[in-house]
Amino acid sequence: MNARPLILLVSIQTGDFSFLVSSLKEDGYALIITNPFSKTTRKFKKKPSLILFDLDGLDVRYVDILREIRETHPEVPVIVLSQPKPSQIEKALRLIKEGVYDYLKKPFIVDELKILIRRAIRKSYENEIFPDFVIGKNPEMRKILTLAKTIAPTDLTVLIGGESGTGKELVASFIHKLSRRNNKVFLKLNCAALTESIMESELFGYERGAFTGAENKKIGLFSAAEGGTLLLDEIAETSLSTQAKLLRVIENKEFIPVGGTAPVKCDVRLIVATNKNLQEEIEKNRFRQDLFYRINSFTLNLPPLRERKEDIPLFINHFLKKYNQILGKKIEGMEDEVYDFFLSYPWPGNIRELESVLLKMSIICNKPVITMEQVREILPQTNSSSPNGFYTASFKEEKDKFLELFEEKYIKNLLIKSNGNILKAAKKAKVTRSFLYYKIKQYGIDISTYRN
Amino acid sequence: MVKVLVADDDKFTRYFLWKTLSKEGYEVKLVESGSEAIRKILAQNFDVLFLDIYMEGMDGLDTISLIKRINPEIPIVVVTGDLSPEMKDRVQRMRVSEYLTKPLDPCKVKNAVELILARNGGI
Repeated sequence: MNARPLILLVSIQTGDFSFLVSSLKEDGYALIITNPFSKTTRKFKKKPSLILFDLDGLDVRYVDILREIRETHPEVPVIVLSQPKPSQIEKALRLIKEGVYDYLKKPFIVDELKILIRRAIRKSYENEIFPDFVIGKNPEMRKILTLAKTIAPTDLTVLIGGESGTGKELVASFIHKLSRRNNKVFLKLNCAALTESIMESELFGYERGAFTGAENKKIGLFSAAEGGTLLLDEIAETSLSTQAKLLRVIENKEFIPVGGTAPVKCDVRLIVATNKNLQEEIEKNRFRQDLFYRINSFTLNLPPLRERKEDIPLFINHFLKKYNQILGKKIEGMEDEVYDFFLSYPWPGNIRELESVLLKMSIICNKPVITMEQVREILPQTNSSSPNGFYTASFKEEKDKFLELFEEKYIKNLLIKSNGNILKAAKKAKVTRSFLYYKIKQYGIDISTYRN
Repeated sequence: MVKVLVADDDKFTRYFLWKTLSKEGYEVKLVESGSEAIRKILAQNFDVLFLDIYMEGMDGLDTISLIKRINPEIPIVVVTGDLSPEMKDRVQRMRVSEYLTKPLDPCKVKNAVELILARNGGI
């Protein structure tokens, strides 16, 4: 977004384009004119923001020519220019089906072209940030992304919740890209990985001599991210004292480096993420309530993959395509059985797990279709109901066995979290008490062992 | 549910049509150009299309002739600020269902859709 957007005008005409060049330059665009048959057109190195495709003078092969030009960067929007001719409607329809953004008849007013260019670039930029596969069909996720889009241009702190692997980091980067800070840095720190003292040095930096080994002054992430956005993942893992310091940054936009005395001003947009329920953490005195209120102005709770199953086919397509490209494979799809399994599997690791499974399968698969056998090799869990590693019973029976294992594990987990309190557990799992009792009996779970 | 597509480059007209038609319980999709309207119509079915004539890029007249090739059945309500009888004549020769001039009257907008639905035997 920093450099002048490059526009490529592909034309066989030898007319004078100097007016167009200077007029677009005034609006901050750089225009390069090339002939569709020159080699440079087909292999342009720098990705243009937009292609203007002059149809005049080209014969019936115009679609092939366009395809060749777009081969390297199929996502770049194209606007077609043409003299009005009787055949133009047919051509326009073909070109729009080819993915052309719009069609402009000559002679045109440059201002009209400018409006189209602006609109096409804006749309393609939004598409790049929010590709279809991320948006998906799930209404909950669509609502969340719309809210993310709305709050992105503000400087408010955003809290992103959701299980691990649901795409919290991706959503945070969308917010950054759609904000006015998008020309500055986007930095992230995983708070779970660090001890309190290292974490504070990382965040706020330290002065020379602040502690043994601090021979030079070091700037922290809040200074490095100046003007940009900082994502703190797993915020619930920070200590109460670090939380107090974060509160100060949010409220006063300043911090004191480790070993320093004078506060340092900073302008950083904070996004925090967690897979924990912060309200529960507050009850257990592990999270500061005042900080929670500060970061909770907008919360985006990303649904787990098992609650947005309608999007699983979309992800499968996307990741298969991605790894086909990276690995040079030609996998077209998967057996129906694999598909059914993918839809019924609970995906505890969410999208991240789905992607990693598809990556592994893409590597080992040397047929055009992924088979259930390969899935079993990769996902040991699929074998947990069959000791010899192979399924012997029908799909339904195996699926039921698998579900039973899941239910038992889920309920035991639930009982640990709720200290054997059935009412609490039922509420948490959003099931009725009687259903829970029934399941506990079914799996022969002894509730008393969960009460302390 | 009756699905209406609105193609107009003017934000206020789009908003006005969205408000008026949503109130009637129709599902309204908005686009700002003829080419976007064509992409939408290629991808899904609509019961009515509201179409502006003067738009950047592909204009309304070209859009109509293109849409007639994709889906000749879709009823089109032309919305334009052009009050000249010549334009009205040109557009009506393209066999559109209704012709409304701006500024739009919400009653006329509602009537236009009701009339189209009635002609098609209701949806």
